[in-house]
Amino acid sequence: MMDFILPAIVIGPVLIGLLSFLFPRKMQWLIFFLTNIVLLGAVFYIRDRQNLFFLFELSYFPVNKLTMGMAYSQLGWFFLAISTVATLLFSAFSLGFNDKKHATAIAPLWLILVGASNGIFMAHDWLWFFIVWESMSWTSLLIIGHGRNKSFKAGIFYYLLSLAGTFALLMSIWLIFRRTGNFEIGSGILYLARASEGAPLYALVVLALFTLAFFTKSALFPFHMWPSLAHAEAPDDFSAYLSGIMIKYGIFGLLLVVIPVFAASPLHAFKAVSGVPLPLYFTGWISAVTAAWGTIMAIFSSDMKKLMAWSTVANVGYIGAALSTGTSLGYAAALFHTANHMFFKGAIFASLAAVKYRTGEREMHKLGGLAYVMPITFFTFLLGIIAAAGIPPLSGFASKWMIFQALFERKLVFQSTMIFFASTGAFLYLFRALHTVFLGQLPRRFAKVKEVGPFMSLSMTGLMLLMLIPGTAPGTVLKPVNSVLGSLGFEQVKTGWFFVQGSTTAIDGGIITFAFVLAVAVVFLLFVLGGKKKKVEMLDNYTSGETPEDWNLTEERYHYGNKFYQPIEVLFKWVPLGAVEEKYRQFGKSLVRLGNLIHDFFQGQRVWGWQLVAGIALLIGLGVM
Amino acid sequence: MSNINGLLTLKLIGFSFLSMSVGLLFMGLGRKVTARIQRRLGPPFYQAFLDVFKAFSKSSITHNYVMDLGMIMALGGLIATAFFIPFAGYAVLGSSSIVIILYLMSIGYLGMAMGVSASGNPNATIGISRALALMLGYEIPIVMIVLAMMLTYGSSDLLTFATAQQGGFANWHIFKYPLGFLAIEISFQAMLGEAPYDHMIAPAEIASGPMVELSGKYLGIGFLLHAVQLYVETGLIVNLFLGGASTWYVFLLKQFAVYFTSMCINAVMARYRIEQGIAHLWKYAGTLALLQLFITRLGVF
Repeated sequence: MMDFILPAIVIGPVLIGLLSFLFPRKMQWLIFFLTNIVLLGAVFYIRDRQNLFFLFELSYFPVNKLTMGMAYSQLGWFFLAISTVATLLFSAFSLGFNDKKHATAIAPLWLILVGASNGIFMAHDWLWFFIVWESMSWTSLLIIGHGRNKSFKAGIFYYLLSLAGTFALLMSIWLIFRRTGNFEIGSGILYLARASEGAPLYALVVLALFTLAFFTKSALFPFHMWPSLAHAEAPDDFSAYLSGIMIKYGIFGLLLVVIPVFAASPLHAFKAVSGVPLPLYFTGWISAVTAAWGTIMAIFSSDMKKLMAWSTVANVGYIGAALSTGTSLGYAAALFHTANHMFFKGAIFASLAAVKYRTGEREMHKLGGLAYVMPITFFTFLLGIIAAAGIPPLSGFASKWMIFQALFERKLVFQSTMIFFASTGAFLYLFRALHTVFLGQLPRRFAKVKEVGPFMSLSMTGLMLLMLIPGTAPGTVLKPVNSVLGSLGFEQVKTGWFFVQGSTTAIDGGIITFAFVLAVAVVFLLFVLGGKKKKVEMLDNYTSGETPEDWNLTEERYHYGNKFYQPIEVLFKWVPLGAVEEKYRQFGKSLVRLGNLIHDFFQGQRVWGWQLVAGIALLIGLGVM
Repeated sequence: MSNINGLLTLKLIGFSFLSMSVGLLFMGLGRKVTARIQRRLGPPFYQAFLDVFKAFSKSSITHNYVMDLGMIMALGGLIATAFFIPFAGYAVLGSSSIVIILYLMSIGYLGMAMGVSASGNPNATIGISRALALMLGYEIPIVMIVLAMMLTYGSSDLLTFATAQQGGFANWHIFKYPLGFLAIEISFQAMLGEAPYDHMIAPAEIASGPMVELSGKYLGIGFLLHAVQLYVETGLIVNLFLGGASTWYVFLLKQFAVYFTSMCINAVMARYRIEQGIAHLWKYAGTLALLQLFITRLGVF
């Protein structure tokens, strides 16, 4: 059914964004927020309307009849829905965040980006996919740059990496088009699946190019370093979007093309290791390494936004490992964790933005004790890290459990070990962030800090609910996931609202939550029945008999935050952590050198003489003179 | 979700007190064991109960609401973990997924860490940072052993592992996974924070670390935390390696045997430096567990 609702969802935000350039800044953020409310309504209105499409005919193309446009798909709708919900909450946060002191001018660009993002999820063919993909890259570059020098450098780095990815994408699209003569995504997948038997090299090259494109976007190894630059330098309220939603485009691409090709190709087309096709086996290992690598880097970071950016890299690693199993359970786990990561990382970045909004500080060890003055922000962050560390009864546990079930099903025990390592490490760096920012001593200069305003608080409360609900009732996310699996012909996951069946065991989110709440209630009773308590000053501490006045005790000096995991840093000295970055830097230097060589040939003193000689020599050589 | 009812609630409340009492009993007996090794008489075996009652009856100081919340969350989380440990072949919640146990335990640690670092004493936080660093050392070997068993049985349920060892001494996993057992014994020592891995408490260095600011009922909760931790971790090993048990007293005896071994090692060992401790765990426990996993994986192919 041809309908105008799809272009309204995709092109609408772009137009409104362009129009809103005309309005003053405060208005721009309001427009941004209101548009997102409307978008949410529209997205849920089109739910399950399978036959929805909107196509342009490109009659002026010299080749046979080409169409381009948008179409509804279950996978696309899933991504569209979760990203719209998250964006609405982020926009509410931004509405409060961008006051006179903190306002940035990115609202119109962000709106254009939202449109491009929706376009990616609703793409019908490669032509359209490529157009919106490029628009997404461009706008995000401008937002990350947002006019500051350091940010712009980070933006350029991000853009160069995505440019490499874009070339790979273009190449693979062209390779498919050359053989099939059309740009349709579905038929391309079927063609590739068939080709994997007849022309395995061709299929592998196309798949490798796709994978490269999507790996650069999702920051999987060896492109894992760009989030730590881009996410850290981006505007504070935008980091949540960048880390929650934009990192998932690559995952979306892998789920859209690469996994279905492997699922549809004949069984014996690829060699397999414990049931996993060899190429996927490798991507699985790359993902597991990414997870571990991101974790180690996060443990060493002292900048809170960089730390969380590395944590995002690690989480993308988990997702990549799950989808690389190629099973329906892995596919479901990847989708589930994608949704959960969107909300918990959004919550974490939102609360960090709130901290920076009130304190203006980014180095963790200079903060401290903010939990006592910013309770809502603290609880958002706390639930965020509980979810991120995969601790029940929050959402992160359910999806991490599913990732493990997917890995267990294929008996990928060594990858599982790697992911477990990353997961334990996650607990380390997340607690470090919690302690150094929110616990310990509250510096005197922050003693008068207040909780953030109503918009930001409401947005954070919403994010908290979105972390709590899927943890207790995984079915809320897994039922839509099941309809995605069904539409792609995968086997569905056995799930109720609370109950999920994995490959080696089943869990019941309701039971876990009940057990936890009951245990806490028992302890609370004990606590209340115990003796009286008295509240004392934070500095009123045990000091082994020393008088604190002797060493000029201040809150800042009494806060243990710097070099938190020094013993681990000692242990990891032998790991070449910056090696990939160093290689890129060397490559960049070589390029500059080559450029200088050419540059010198055309400039500088007396150079023209050499040019004259060389020109005459050339002419003689050609036999002209 | 459907099987939540009043009876289950009562059973769970019973189990929460069971786990605390068993742990406290072991703590008292453990002190007795240590004393005898050091040729002292030692306190009576019920001393830990007295300590907890006394602590709860005294008045205490707190610094802020996070401290209260953290301590309650810590003990609550660990007791919730205890519900998932099959006791003498009986899983009260009908589920004993090992992944749940491993992750649910973390909420206890997180609560503890949060509560004591909100007290604002750097000694407490240093203790926590050491404990967490050590966690990176012992979790990986344990996970690898669990994965090895999972490969064999195709299940990640603790009760399945326990029932698979029924039918006599020779079926115990100690003999099926000897390397794994050694690895988990080393890791267990670190998990409990006993010497040579007692960096977290280290009384002479950091004034008992996490415990430094706890008084009155907070200290009482601290004791109970250790007690439930004992119950959970010894229960884990008994179910994984010592064949579980069909009667409650055999189960308790086996649990105590595990703790007894640990106390004997604790009494005669000195402390490592932190990075040495982690390195040691990876080098020995990690290698043994990895070998075990390799052997099992090759057998399954």
